[in-house]
Amino acid sequence: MVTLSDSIEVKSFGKVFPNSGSEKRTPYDHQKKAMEYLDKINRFPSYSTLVVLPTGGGKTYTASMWLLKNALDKKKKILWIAHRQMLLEQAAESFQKYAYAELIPHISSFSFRIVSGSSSHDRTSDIQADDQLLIISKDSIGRNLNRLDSWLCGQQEIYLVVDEAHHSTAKTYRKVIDYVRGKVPHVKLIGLTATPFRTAVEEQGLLAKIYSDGIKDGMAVHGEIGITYQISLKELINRRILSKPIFESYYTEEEYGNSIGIDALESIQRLDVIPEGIARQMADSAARNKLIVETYKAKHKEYGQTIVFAVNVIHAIQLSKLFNNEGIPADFVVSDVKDYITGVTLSREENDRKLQAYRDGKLQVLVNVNILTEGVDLPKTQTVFLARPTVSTILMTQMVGRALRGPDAGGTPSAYIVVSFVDHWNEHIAWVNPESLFDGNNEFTDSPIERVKHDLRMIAISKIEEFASILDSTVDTTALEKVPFEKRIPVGMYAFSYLEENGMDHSYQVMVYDSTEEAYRNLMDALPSLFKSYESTDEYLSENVILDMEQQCRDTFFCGEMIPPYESRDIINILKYYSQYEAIPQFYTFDEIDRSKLDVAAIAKHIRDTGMSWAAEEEYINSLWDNADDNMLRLFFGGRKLNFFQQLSIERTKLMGGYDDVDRKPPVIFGQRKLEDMPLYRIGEIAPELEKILRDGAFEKSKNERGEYQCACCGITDTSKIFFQVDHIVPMNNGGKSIPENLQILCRKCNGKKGDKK
Amino acid sequence: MRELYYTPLDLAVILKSMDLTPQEQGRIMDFVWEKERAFIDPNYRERKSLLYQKVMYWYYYLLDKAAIDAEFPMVQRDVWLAQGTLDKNDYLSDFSELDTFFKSIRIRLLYNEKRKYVRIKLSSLLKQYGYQRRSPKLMEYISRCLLFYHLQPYLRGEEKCNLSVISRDAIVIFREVF
Repeated sequence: MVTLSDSIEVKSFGKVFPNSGSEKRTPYDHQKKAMEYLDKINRFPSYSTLVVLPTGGGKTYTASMWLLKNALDKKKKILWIAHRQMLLEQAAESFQKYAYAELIPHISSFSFRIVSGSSSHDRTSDIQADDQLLIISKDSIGRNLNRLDSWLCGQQEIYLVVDEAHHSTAKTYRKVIDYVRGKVPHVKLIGLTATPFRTAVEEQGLLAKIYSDGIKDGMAVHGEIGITYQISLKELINRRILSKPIFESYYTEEEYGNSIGIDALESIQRLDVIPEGIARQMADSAARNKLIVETYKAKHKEYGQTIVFAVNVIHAIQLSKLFNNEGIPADFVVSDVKDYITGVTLSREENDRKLQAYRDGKLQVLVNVNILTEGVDLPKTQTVFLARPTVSTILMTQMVGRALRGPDAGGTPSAYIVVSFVDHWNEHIAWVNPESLFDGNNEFTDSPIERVKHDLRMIAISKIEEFASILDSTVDTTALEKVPFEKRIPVGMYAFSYLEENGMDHSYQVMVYDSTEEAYRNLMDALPSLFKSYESTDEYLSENVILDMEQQCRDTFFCGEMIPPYESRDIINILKYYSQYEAIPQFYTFDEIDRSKLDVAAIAKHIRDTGMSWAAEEEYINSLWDNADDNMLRLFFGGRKLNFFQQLSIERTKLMGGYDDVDRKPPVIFGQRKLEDMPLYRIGEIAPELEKILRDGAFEKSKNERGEYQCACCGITDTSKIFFQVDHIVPMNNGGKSIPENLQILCRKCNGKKGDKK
Repeated sequence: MRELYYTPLDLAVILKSMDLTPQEQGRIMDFVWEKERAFIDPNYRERKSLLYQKVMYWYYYLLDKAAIDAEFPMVQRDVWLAQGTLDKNDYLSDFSELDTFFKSIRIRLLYNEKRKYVRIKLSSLLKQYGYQRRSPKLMEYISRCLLFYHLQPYLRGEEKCNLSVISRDAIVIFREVF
């Protein structure tokens, strides 16, 4: 009988003994080169550098091989950090797999430990001083830095590896790096990434501050963004290490675009998650599934062993069944987490068994849901079927990457094939076309037309809510309707992504208009002061702090007329981003968009000025909407013609003088209250400009002789408004009024104290 | 009675049927707003901008009813997700209840000062309402309309007539009664 004192085997820690013999796989030239350059930089007692290898380039393999030889074999400790649990296991497996005796001749074994919040991993409290390879999740260690103390104690030199290093600018990573540097004299920091320069310019600046040593023209350089080695996807293809696939597309008869709501748009465009309803529709479509299976059947000799990426678990099961029904040996692998919809639970062992059957050629088709994107070696794969679309270039690269292995990399000699199944989405979603990964000179760069389309889709998501509010008869949007239409087209956006506490990327865009451009600029300038004033150092702010900061930002920068109105969640997301990266998000202008094509007011004017009859107008409107060249109007309105008509009718009304007349008031005489007897925020709701004048006035009169703002209570000064709040000298509940003479500024501390006393 | 007021949809249908330029449409709308306000649906009588905008909306709805009907569930969902409310009847119509015949006659007569009358064969008028014969119910309804819109039917020669008794083939001339 099993008792509580019995032990079971766990994979979260252990000792690795050298594999006898030598590694059969010879590193490719680029991997050798990367190792050679790492040798060069390693001559320095400490350094911080990046190694950039694209997906499929063997990033983890290269790093682990090099570290086995240069760190573990020399009894130097390695701290390997990543932000996702899967990456941790992948790293551990790589060290275990390549621990060949010829790489580590001087040691008889090394101990490793994987630490994360996952139940299958160890806790930080389990860390032992004699662990040599510590693979740990960013958040586990970020919260318990002192648990590293005994592990670091006495070390003169340590290798610190950050996987997916483009995230290293996040505060926790920086905190860990600084902490380790504070404890160990010589830290050799190596960042591994496939995409170091996707992020904001400011962040790149930060990245350059973190990684400042590299190799340029074969020589070590210091003080600029430090890259020891990098190679592009294109170069790997040119070298036949990765192969450029043949692309095939098959068009399904499925129509999803016309019934897609804003939630679905957001879910897909921002998170790359196909909403359940649509995923179910896709999975259940007999015609779509039939097309997938029939396509394979028709050319099975050409396609050979094929990986199919399905939409969800149900889809994977159904497709697998259909392939088998047609006599094609197939199976599916899904996550080892129980799927609540199907109740399917597959253990890792079951998945491993199926993967082995595929490797052995017993299965021709392996269907999966996002789990074969990385970390699993399936070299016989000849073809990839993309039965799920994606908006993520990263996921697309990973999916296509399954078929990228070139003839010189142990793949099959024939060309690889990527087969896409394309549904009708009517331009609503910017799905990544796999071929686009290989277009142009730079990786992941869109053509100007694609860029404009992408921007328009982003704008459309933000505008749909505004248009929806105009359709709602219970909301008075007259003020918004009166604004010239061109002013309602954003001039640019702040686009950024930050890591949620669960390790997922959260992308967000803040649209900026003529009326808010300056406010945002001022906000961005003040962010460092704001965070300083809150003495906030946490990567994840508490809800109370974030709401308080948001209110402060609103009062300081966003009072006055804003079209469209101020949106608190935009500021909250900016604050969350800043708290993580301490960088200002990247601003993208929409200069490339031809705004005249979107200006509904101009369209209305053209209709009027040319005196169009019914038939002429019908033709004109439809030609604008159906314009096959760029589809700009349709994209801007998120494909909703009703919204276009609604806006057009508003603009036509303006031209007819429909807004000129004062609308009649209902026959009730309500009471009157002076604005000066209302709090500032209430004044702002009625007369935004007046609130701005009052607030600005209070700040203006608080300036000292040096032009700094000064707290009327404690006298503290600063050049930024963000430290201060406008206060009623005589509180309103004591009869004080919202008039310039009764307004002053107080620092937040003094205002808080005064508020407590009231 | 309520169905006899000009609704924005009625006005849009009338504007379309008159095939006017945008300038002329504007003039008609001003005329309705200034001179015919008593006949406007009370929901729109107090807000000029709302009336004009709704008329123009329906005008465009007529332009591509099929597309708007098809995408409406999507738009409805947008509004729902924006925590708003959307009344389907404000944006969609199948025109089954629409009766613009007398409204149109009145607007045409009054707006165009040169035009003093509108002529129509009685059988054609009956056809407008889907009738071959003059049922008592239909005639009662037509009488109410004539009264409401201040219209008087005549036969040729300025002879006042009763639509219940004249020949189905007679040409009826409608004039406004001051």
